[in-house]
Amino acid sequence: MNCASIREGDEEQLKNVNVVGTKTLLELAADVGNCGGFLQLSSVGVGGSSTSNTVVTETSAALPLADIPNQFDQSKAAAESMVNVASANGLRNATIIRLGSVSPPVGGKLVHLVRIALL
Amino acid sequence: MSWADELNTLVEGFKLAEPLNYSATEGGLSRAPSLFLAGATGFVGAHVLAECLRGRNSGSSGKIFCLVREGDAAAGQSKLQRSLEKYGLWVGDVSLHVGRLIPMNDSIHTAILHSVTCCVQAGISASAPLDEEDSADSESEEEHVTEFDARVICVTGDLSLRKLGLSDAEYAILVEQLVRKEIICCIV
Repeated sequence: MNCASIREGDEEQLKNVNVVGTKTLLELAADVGNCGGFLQLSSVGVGGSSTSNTVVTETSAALPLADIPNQFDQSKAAAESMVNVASANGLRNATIIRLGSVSPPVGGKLVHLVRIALL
Repeated sequence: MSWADELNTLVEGFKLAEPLNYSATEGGLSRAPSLFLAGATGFVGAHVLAECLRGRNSGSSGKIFCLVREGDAAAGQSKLQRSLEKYGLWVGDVSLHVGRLIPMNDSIHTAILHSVTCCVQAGISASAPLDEEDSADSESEEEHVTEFDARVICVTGDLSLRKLGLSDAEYAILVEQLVRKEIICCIV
Protein backbone atom coordinates (compact mmCIF):
# COMPACT_ATOMS: atom_id res chain seq x y z
CA MET A 1 0.00 0.00 0.00
CA ASN A 2 1.62 3.19 -1.17
CA CYS A 3 0.70 6.14 1.03
CA ALA A 4 4.14 7.65 0.54
CA SER A 5 3.91 10.93 -1.25
CA ILE A 6 5.10 14.49 -1.09
CA ARG A 7 3.05 17.43 -2.23
CA GLU A 8 5.55 20.19 -1.67
CA GLY A 9 9.03 19.97 -3.07
CA ASP A 10 11.16 20.63 -6.08
CA GLU A 11 10.79 18.71 -9.31
CA GLU A 12 13.45 16.20 -8.40
CA GLN A 13 11.84 15.40 -5.06
CA LEU A 14 8.38 15.03 -6.59
CA LYS A 15 9.75 12.74 -9.27
CA ASN A 16 11.83 10.61 -6.93
CA VAL A 17 9.23 10.04 -4.21
CA ASN A 18 5.97 10.01 -6.14
CA VAL A 19 7.04 8.36 -9.40
CA VAL A 20 10.30 6.50 -8.88
CA GLY A 21 9.07 5.47 -5.43
CA THR A 22 5.98 3.88 -6.95
CA LYS A 23 8.17 2.02 -9.44
CA THR A 24 10.33 0.73 -6.58
CA LEU A 25 7.27 -0.65 -4.79
CA LEU A 26 5.92 -2.25 -7.98
CA GLU A 27 9.28 -3.97 -8.35
CA LEU A 28 9.11 -5.13 -4.74
CA ALA A 29 5.62 -6.53 -5.39
CA ALA A 30 7.01 -8.48 -8.34
CA ASP A 31 9.98 -9.72 -6.34
CA VAL A 32 7.67 -10.95 -3.58
CA GLY A 33 5.88 -12.95 -6.25
CA ASN A 34 2.60 -13.69 -4.55
CA CYS A 35 1.54 -10.13 -3.86
CA GLY A 36 -2.20 -10.26 -3.30
CA GLY A 37 -2.86 -6.65 -4.13
CA PHE A 38 -1.38 -3.21 -4.63
CA LEU A 39 -3.14 -0.12 -3.35
CA GLN A 40 -1.95 3.19 -4.74
CA LEU A 41 -3.10 6.48 -3.29
CA SER A 42 -3.47 9.10 -5.98
CA SER A 43 -5.14 12.46 -6.45
CA VAL A 44 -8.39 13.65 -7.99
CA GLY A 45 -6.20 16.24 -9.67
CA VAL A 46 -5.13 13.72 -12.31
CA GLY A 47 -8.50 14.43 -13.87
CA GLY A 48 -7.61 18.06 -14.35
CA SER A 49 -8.61 21.33 -12.80
CA SER A 50 -11.75 21.57 -10.67
CA THR A 51 -12.78 24.54 -12.80
CA SER A 52 -12.63 22.68 -16.11
CA ASN A 53 -16.36 21.83 -16.01
CA THR A 54 -15.74 18.23 -16.99
CA VAL A 55 -17.28 15.25 -15.25
CA VAL A 56 -14.73 12.85 -13.80
CA THR A 57 -15.82 9.41 -12.63
CA GLU A 58 -14.05 6.45 -11.08
CA THR A 59 -13.36 5.04 -14.51
CA SER A 60 -12.05 8.23 -16.07
CA ALA A 61 -8.49 7.94 -17.28
CA ALA A 62 -5.94 10.40 -16.02
CA LEU A 63 -5.34 13.29 -18.37
CA PRO A 64 -2.11 13.53 -20.36
CA LEU A 65 0.52 15.11 -18.14
CA ALA A 66 0.69 18.23 -20.28
CA ASP A 67 -3.01 18.88 -19.58
CA ILE A 68 -2.66 18.60 -15.80
CA PRO A 69 -2.14 22.01 -14.23
CA ASN A 70 0.26 21.27 -11.37
CA GLN A 71 3.33 19.19 -10.88
CA PHE A 72 2.08 17.19 -7.90
CA ASP A 73 -0.87 15.89 -9.90
CA GLN A 74 1.37 15.30 -12.89
CA SER A 75 3.59 13.10 -10.73
CA LYS A 76 0.58 11.18 -9.40
CA ALA A 77 -0.71 10.64 -12.94
CA ALA A 78 2.67 9.28 -14.00
CA ALA A 79 2.63 6.96 -10.99
CA GLU A 80 -0.88 5.79 -11.94
CA SER A 81 0.40 4.92 -15.41
CA MET A 82 3.05 2.69 -13.90
CA VAL A 83 0.50 0.91 -11.71
CA ASN A 84 -1.69 0.37 -14.75
CA VAL A 85 1.24 -1.09 -16.68
CA ALA A 86 1.99 -3.47 -13.82
CA SER A 87 -1.68 -4.42 -13.62
CA ALA A 88 -1.66 -5.25 -17.33
CA ASN A 89 1.43 -7.37 -16.68
CA GLY A 90 -0.34 -9.46 -14.07
CA LEU A 91 -0.19 -7.54 -10.79
CA ARG A 92 -3.29 -8.72 -8.94
CA ASN A 93 -5.87 -6.39 -7.44
CA ALA A 94 -4.11 -3.20 -8.39
CA THR A 95 -6.31 -0.44 -7.03
CA ILE A 96 -5.96 3.30 -7.29
CA ILE A 97 -7.75 5.61 -4.89
CA ARG A 98 -7.88 9.23 -5.97
CA LEU A 99 -8.18 11.32 -2.86
CA GLY A 100 -9.36 14.89 -2.84
CA SER A 101 -8.47 17.30 -0.09
CA VAL A 102 -7.53 15.35 3.01
CA SER A 103 -8.30 16.90 6.37
CA PRO A 104 -8.14 15.82 10.00
CA PRO A 105 -10.71 13.22 11.05
CA VAL A 106 -14.33 14.28 10.75
CA GLY A 107 -16.10 11.05 11.55
CA GLY A 108 -13.60 8.59 10.16
CA LYS A 109 -14.72 8.84 6.56
CA LEU A 110 -11.23 8.49 5.21
CA VAL A 111 -10.51 5.40 7.25
CA HIS A 112 -13.82 3.96 6.14
CA LEU A 113 -12.85 4.53 2.52
CA VAL A 114 -9.56 2.74 3.00
CA ARG A 115 -11.26 -0.11 4.83
CA ILE A 116 -13.55 -0.64 1.87
CA ALA A 117 -10.57 -0.73 -0.46
CA LEU A 118 -8.84 -3.35 1.67
CA LEU A 119 -11.78 -5.73 1.60
CA MET B 1 12.97 18.45 -22.13
CA SER B 2 10.17 19.70 -19.89
CA TRP B 3 9.58 18.12 -16.51
CA ALA B 4 6.32 16.54 -17.74
CA ASP B 5 8.24 15.06 -20.66
CA GLU B 6 10.77 13.72 -18.19
CA LEU B 7 7.98 11.94 -16.28
CA ASN B 8 6.55 10.60 -19.52
CA THR B 9 9.97 9.23 -20.40
CA LEU B 10 10.08 7.45 -17.04
CA VAL B 11 6.66 5.91 -17.66
CA GLU B 12 7.56 4.89 -21.21
CA GLY B 13 10.75 3.31 -19.92
CA PHE B 14 8.71 1.30 -17.45
CA LYS B 15 6.32 0.21 -20.22
CA LEU B 16 9.09 -0.83 -22.56
CA ALA B 17 11.23 -2.58 -19.98
CA GLU B 18 10.98 -6.31 -19.61
CA PRO B 19 7.63 -6.86 -17.88
CA LEU B 20 7.83 -7.57 -14.18
CA ASN B 21 6.77 -11.07 -13.30
CA TYR B 22 3.85 -11.11 -10.89
CA SER B 23 3.18 -14.83 -11.06
CA ALA B 24 2.50 -16.44 -7.73
CA THR B 25 5.30 -18.22 -6.00
CA GLU B 26 4.93 -21.64 -4.51
CA GLY B 27 2.44 -21.68 -1.71
CA GLY B 28 0.03 -19.13 -3.11
CA LEU B 29 -1.57 -16.38 -1.12
CA SER B 30 -1.53 -16.30 2.62
CA ARG B 31 -4.79 -16.24 4.52
CA ALA B 32 -3.39 -13.49 6.69
CA PRO B 33 -1.22 -11.53 4.29
CA SER B 34 1.31 -9.08 5.50
CA LEU B 35 1.06 -5.45 4.51
CA PHE B 36 3.92 -3.36 3.19
CA LEU B 37 2.89 0.19 3.99
CA ALA B 38 4.78 3.07 2.44
CA GLY B 39 4.12 6.45 3.96
CA ALA B 40 3.05 5.35 7.44
CA THR B 41 4.26 8.57 9.05
CA GLY B 42 2.08 10.71 6.83
CA PHE B 43 -1.47 11.71 7.69
CA VAL B 44 -3.17 9.06 5.60
CA GLY B 45 -0.62 6.35 6.30
CA ALA B 46 -0.75 6.87 10.06
CA HIS B 47 -4.51 6.45 10.05
CA VAL B 48 -4.25 3.37 7.85
CA LEU B 49 -1.69 1.88 10.21
CA ALA B 50 -3.83 2.57 13.26
CA GLU B 51 -6.87 1.17 11.51
CA CYS B 52 -5.03 -1.99 10.51
CA LEU B 53 -3.79 -2.50 14.04
CA ARG B 54 -7.23 -2.00 15.49
CA GLY B 55 -8.77 -4.31 12.89
CA ARG B 56 -7.51 -7.43 14.57
CA ASN B 57 -10.97 -8.75 15.20
CA SER B 58 -12.11 -8.14 11.64
CA GLY B 59 -9.65 -10.55 10.14
CA SER B 60 -6.70 -8.21 9.70
CA SER B 61 -4.28 -10.33 11.62
CA GLY B 62 -1.37 -10.11 9.22
CA LYS B 63 1.90 -8.42 9.71
CA ILE B 64 2.56 -4.79 8.84
CA PHE B 65 5.91 -3.73 7.34
CA CYS B 66 6.64 0.00 7.51
CA LEU B 67 9.39 1.61 5.46
CA VAL B 68 10.88 4.48 7.42
CA ARG B 69 13.17 7.01 5.80
CA GLU B 70 15.61 7.27 8.65
CA GLY B 71 19.22 6.26 9.08
CA ASP B 72 18.68 3.68 11.75
CA ALA B 73 15.97 1.62 13.32
CA ALA B 74 15.75 3.65 16.53
CA ALA B 75 15.27 6.90 14.64
CA GLY B 76 12.68 5.31 12.38
CA GLN B 77 10.83 3.92 15.33
CA SER B 78 10.77 7.31 17.02
CA LYS B 79 9.49 8.92 13.85
CA LEU B 80 6.67 6.43 13.61
CA GLN B 81 5.74 7.00 17.23
CA ARG B 82 5.83 10.79 16.86
CA SER B 83 3.56 10.57 13.86
CA LEU B 84 1.00 8.45 15.67
CA GLU B 85 1.14 10.81 18.65
CA LYS B 86 0.74 13.83 16.40
CA TYR B 87 -2.54 12.50 15.06
CA GLY B 88 -3.81 11.28 18.41
CA LEU B 89 -3.46 7.64 17.42
CA TRP B 90 -0.93 6.59 20.00
CA VAL B 91 -2.78 5.30 23.04
CA GLY B 92 -2.09 3.09 25.99
CA ASP B 93 1.19 2.18 27.55
CA VAL B 94 4.14 2.49 25.27
CA SER B 95 6.82 -0.11 25.28
CA LEU B 96 9.53 0.19 22.68
CA HIS B 97 12.11 -2.47 22.11
CA VAL B 98 14.73 -1.26 19.71
CA GLY B 99 16.61 -3.78 17.66
CA ARG B 100 14.56 -6.77 18.61
CA LEU B 101 15.75 -9.78 16.70
CA ILE B 102 13.45 -11.47 14.28
CA PRO B 103 13.37 -15.23 14.77
CA MET B 104 15.03 -16.80 11.78
CA ASN B 105 16.68 -20.10 11.18
CA ASP B 106 19.79 -18.77 9.52
CA SER B 107 22.04 -16.96 11.95
CA ILE B 108 23.70 -14.95 9.19
CA HIS B 109 20.34 -13.77 7.94
CA THR B 110 19.41 -12.86 11.45
CA ALA B 111 22.50 -10.72 11.80
CA ILE B 112 21.83 -8.88 8.56
CA LEU B 113 18.17 -8.45 9.27
CA HIS B 114 18.98 -7.07 12.68
CA SER B 115 20.95 -4.32 11.04
CA VAL B 116 18.06 -3.02 8.97
CA THR B 117 14.92 -3.67 10.95
CA CYS B 118 13.49 -3.15 14.34
CA CYS B 119 10.30 -4.13 16.00
CA VAL B 120 7.92 -1.46 17.16
CA GLN B 121 5.88 -2.40 20.16
CA ALA B 122 3.36 0.32 20.62
CA GLY B 123 0.39 0.66 22.88
CA ILE B 124 -2.04 1.11 20.06
CA SER B 125 -3.82 -2.11 20.77
CA ALA B 126 -4.52 -1.31 24.36
CA SER B 127 -7.96 0.00 23.50
CA ALA B 128 -8.79 -2.78 21.08
CA PRO B 129 -11.43 -5.22 22.25
CA LEU B 130 -10.17 -8.62 23.16
CA ASP B 131 -11.60 -11.56 21.37
CA GLU B 132 -12.98 -14.47 23.30
CA GLU B 133 -9.80 -16.44 23.16
CA ASP B 134 -7.81 -13.56 24.54
CA SER B 135 -10.40 -12.82 27.18
CA ALA B 136 -10.21 -16.36 28.37
CA ASP B 137 -6.48 -16.19 28.50
CA SER B 138 -5.10 -15.80 31.95
CA GLU B 139 -2.20 -13.72 30.66
CA SER B 140 -2.12 -10.07 31.57
CA GLU B 141 -3.32 -7.33 29.24
CA GLU B 142 0.27 -6.15 29.00
CA GLU B 143 1.27 -9.43 27.44
CA HIS B 144 -1.67 -9.27 25.10
CA VAL B 145 -0.60 -5.81 23.98
CA THR B 146 2.92 -7.00 23.42
CA GLU B 147 1.77 -9.82 21.22
CA PHE B 148 -0.56 -7.56 19.26
CA ASP B 149 1.97 -4.84 18.68
CA ALA B 150 4.51 -7.35 17.51
CA ARG B 151 2.72 -7.07 14.17
CA VAL B 152 4.66 -3.95 13.26
CA ILE B 153 8.23 -3.82 12.00
CA CYS B 154 10.07 -0.77 10.71
CA VAL B 155 12.30 -1.18 7.70
CA THR B 156 14.73 1.68 7.40
CA GLY B 157 14.98 2.57 3.75
CA ASP B 158 14.02 5.00 1.03
CA LEU B 159 11.55 4.06 -1.67
CA SER B 160 13.06 6.55 -4.11
CA LEU B 161 16.24 4.48 -4.16
CA ARG B 162 16.81 1.23 -6.01
CA LYS B 163 15.70 -1.67 -3.85
CA LEU B 164 14.64 0.80 -1.17
CA GLY B 165 18.26 1.74 -0.59
CA LEU B 166 18.94 -1.65 0.94
CA SER B 167 21.89 -3.80 0.01
CA ASP B 168 21.16 -6.76 -2.23
CA ALA B 169 21.43 -9.06 0.77
CA GLU B 170 19.13 -6.94 2.91
CA TYR B 171 16.60 -6.62 0.12
CA ALA B 172 16.63 -10.37 -0.47
CA ILE B 173 15.86 -10.94 3.19
CA LEU B 174 13.01 -8.45 3.13
CA VAL B 175 11.48 -10.18 0.11
CA GLU B 176 11.92 -13.52 1.80
CA GLN B 177 10.12 -12.28 4.87
CA LEU B 178 7.27 -10.88 2.83
CA VAL B 179 6.95 -14.16 0.97
CA ARG B 180 7.11 -16.24 4.10
CA LYS B 181 4.82 -13.83 5.90
CA GLU B 182 6.29 -14.70 9.20
CA ILE B 183 7.14 -11.15 10.11
CA ILE B 184 5.35 -7.91 10.70
CA CYS B 185 6.35 -4.71 8.91
CA CYS B 186 5.28 -1.10 8.37
CA ILE B 187 6.58 1.57 5.96
CA VAL B 188 6.91 5.19 6.96
